[in-house]
Amino acid sequence: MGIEYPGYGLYKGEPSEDKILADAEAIFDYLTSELGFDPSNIIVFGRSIGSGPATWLASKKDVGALALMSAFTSIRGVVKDIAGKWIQYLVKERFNNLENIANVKCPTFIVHGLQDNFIPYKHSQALYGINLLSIMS
Amino acid sequence: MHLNPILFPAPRAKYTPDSLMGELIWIPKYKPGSKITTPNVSAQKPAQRITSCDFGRKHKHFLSETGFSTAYNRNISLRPTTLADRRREEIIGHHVHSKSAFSSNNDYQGGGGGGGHTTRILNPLESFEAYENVVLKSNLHQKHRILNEKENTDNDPNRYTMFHDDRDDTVINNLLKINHQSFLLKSPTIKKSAQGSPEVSFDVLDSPIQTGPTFLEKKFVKDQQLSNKVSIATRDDCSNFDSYQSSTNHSKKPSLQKNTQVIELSPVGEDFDGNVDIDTGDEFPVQSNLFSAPETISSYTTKTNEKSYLFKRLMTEYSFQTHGEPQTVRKLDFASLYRDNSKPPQTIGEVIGHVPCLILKSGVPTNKILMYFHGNGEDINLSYDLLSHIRNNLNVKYFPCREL
Repeated sequence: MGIEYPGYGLYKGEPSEDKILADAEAIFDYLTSELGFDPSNIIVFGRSIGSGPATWLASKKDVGALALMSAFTSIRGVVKDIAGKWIQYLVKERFNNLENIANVKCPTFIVHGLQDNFIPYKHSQALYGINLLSIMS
Repeated sequence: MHLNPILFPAPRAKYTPDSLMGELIWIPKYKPGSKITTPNVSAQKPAQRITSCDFGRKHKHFLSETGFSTAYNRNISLRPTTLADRRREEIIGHHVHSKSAFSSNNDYQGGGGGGGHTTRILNPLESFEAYENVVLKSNLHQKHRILNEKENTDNDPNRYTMFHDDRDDTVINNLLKINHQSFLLKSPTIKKSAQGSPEVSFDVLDSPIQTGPTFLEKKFVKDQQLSNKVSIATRDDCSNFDSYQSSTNHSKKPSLQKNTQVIELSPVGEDFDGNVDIDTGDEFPVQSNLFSAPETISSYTTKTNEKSYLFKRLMTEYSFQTHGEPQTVRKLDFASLYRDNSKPPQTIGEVIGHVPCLILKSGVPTNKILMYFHGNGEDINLSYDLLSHIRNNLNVKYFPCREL
């Protein structure tokens, strides 16, 4: 199931973090409450900026598994790598995956291209480390 | 700093509700604070839970009570899938046992070379498999290659019953396979010998083959209509489909679907509008790669596996038909979105909007679903290839862990 964001495709509206997260939770609730899916049978998969709502959802709900492709630590972290250390503080923090993944307890699969120039693969390495520490603790 | 337009560069919408026919679902979004009554899922029997592949929706009040909008989801059929009920297995193969060698000079020379009279000597317990009404549109070389790639490992004669047939000169087979070699049969016949035991005589590529007493391996009754609709789906098939998907310009996909014919799966059903559709089954074209493989079918012994197998085959047929020369597009019957056994959903709240979602039905029955959040610069239409690849290749099996 591919989920559209506000402002994308046929979905009218302005995209924002809050709306995307609200939609993610609404769809998860719909799957579990209306359609009867067991939460453990729901796999959440996020790619690039989709890793934000995916990680957030996995941290809030007891999903079956989490898969991340080209994930980032946070939007601010991406801006830091692209624009510089000081510019990052001009951007509001959004999709703080580094914080959210510490609360993820489900099996997690992370994949990232080594030659990704936009989001360096060290972001995924950081997520993996935090996730590993949280599980071990 | 307000950077949402920069952080979320949405591409122009290149799809419409009609272009993603049957695969676009609008999920209602409730006003915050609405009370959502979650049913006790764990109290239900596992077999009765909804699956991503078989949404057994039967109650119409679902539409009004869950915010599932028919105006939005006009391409979603709510009829249950009944494909598994339509299959029957039929004659798959025969096992031949020869007590003594027949008078012959040479083994089969193969290929019909020379066109002479060639007799094949069958050793005791040597087996063959015959295929009835096999539809092969490929050339002879391809037929032989296909057959020789398949292995016959079941040579246990105890599993077979004696074949008694009083018919004379009855054509039963079109193809014959002996010890992994295949033969094209021109006029296979069954006769009674002087001793009363049945004998089988075949003309194989201008060369007759005679065998001794015949043993029937198994007799399945195969739904010919269904067999014409399905093809063997392997992992390679799925990979090929993905390569076709990738090689095809995605923007052309809607136009392909517009010029094609919509076919429903269920034989007789009633959609959410109350219209009764009758599926005659004649609209499914016969595929060129269609072939009924007894080894493959016999390996799927359990009902669940058979069902999975049929679903896989059918879904692959659908996939291939959407490429090359577009002929037909089957309207997927996703979205029988309901549990049959439970109470109607009790989530009552004010619907403040609908979220468009791309739903790709799994080819294999599964109770799992994958929520995909796409990246920047793409939408659910551009995510179609990736999701389709995942659907075809991600075989998620659930193995419950045992506590030691």
